[in-house]
Amino acid sequence: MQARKDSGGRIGRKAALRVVVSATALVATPAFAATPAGTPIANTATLTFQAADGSSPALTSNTVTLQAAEILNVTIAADAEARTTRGNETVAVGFVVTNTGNGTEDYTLAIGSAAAGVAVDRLAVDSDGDGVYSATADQALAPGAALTLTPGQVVRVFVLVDAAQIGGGTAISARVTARTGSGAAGTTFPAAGDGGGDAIVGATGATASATSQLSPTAGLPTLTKSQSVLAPDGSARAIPGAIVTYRLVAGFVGATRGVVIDDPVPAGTSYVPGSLRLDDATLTDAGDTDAGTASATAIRVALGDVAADGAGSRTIQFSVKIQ
Amino acid sequence: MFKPLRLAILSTSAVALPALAAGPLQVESKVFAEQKTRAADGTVRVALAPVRRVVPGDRVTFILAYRNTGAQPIGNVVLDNPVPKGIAYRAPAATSAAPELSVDGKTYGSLANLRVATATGTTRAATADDVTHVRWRLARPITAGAQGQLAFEAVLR
Repeated sequence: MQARKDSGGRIGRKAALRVVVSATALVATPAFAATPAGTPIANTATLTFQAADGSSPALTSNTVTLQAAEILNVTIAADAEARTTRGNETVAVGFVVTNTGNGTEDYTLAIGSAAAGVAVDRLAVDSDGDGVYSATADQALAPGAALTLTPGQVVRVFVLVDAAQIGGGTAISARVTARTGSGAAGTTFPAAGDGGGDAIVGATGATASATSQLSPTAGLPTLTKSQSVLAPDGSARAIPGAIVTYRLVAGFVGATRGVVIDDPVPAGTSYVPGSLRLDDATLTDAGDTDAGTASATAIRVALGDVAADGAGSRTIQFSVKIQ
Repeated sequence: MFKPLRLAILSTSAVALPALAAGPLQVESKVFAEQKTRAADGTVRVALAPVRRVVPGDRVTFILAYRNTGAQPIGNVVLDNPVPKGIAYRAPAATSAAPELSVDGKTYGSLANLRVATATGTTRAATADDVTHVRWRLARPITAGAQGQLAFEAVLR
């Protein structure tokens, strides 16, 4: 049932029950959709018999009615048990909450961080359901606000974390709890269920938690060099007149400032004019508005500031001729 | 876990339901659920008790009790129980004769002989979840004053 009383007075019990919850959260859900809470289940039998006059009259029994009570269940799973963060990006840590009960239920989400100083008060619901946080498409969820889910409904909630705050890393935890009540399986909340019936805590304890470990990646960029040779005779032999093409791949794992890549032209070779390239674009050899310059002795590409969310790698290519 | 509250519910739901009568033959429909009680020595007893409230996954037993209150035997008695929506048939109750089953209310037989049409136009073997009706045909007349009961077990979907 929605929006009644919070189970604020039950904190102590919940903490003690954590082990039980994790052990029972794996109980398989029925293959068929659960009967919604409040549904009346009416049974009537029909009886036919042979009467004394030879007719076959039918009669019906009384109707016995059961009401499906509300079962309180919930599961939560982190999108990733562990993930790396880069620089000062905003990380959207996703948790998938599923109402595995049979009533429309309000849930409370409690978010925590293992490390101090990490703000975890920005939440958003993945409204468009694409699994990726979008500031425009996904609706903000105020801390402590109810997350209302219909039976079987699955919703992803993002916790927006500033990666600059996590220091050496932290675990973001999320605990979801049914507002009608939680506790040991079988605990009954009289008349608190959908349809006015009782609400009964199911196997999940009506509360569940998940964590996602955030770790900053090492911030050092990488530079990998490779070469290919094309001789005048079409072979790959390094003979005079052969063209050697060098390929430099610079990898970045976060925001990196003032990036400059220098590579001297090897002794015994001469630079092939106009062969300097950055990714898919040719750079002029002159020191002009583009990022690259080349001379007889060296090439230089100034990439400047690489944004945290920019391309993960840049590829520089140039050729020399063996003298 | 076992609260006085639940006891109260049990006592209110145990109120006898009126049986409908047509001449001398009476039939009463009842529903019971398994109630587990833990004794002081730690043993758990499972007993059937009348209930009005169940949650998905709960096992329930539907019972049809019949009685011939007249002075003459009544023959060719057939009891047909459409399975309520939200209920999945599971098995005959331990104390009851096995019913004939149907997945359409027309053809009756054992589960192994029933088939269900699929969306692709073929058929597949029926499962207990597909059962829509259970039926008992009494082989012998109910003699004057005799009574009996038939039952099946089911689960709330």
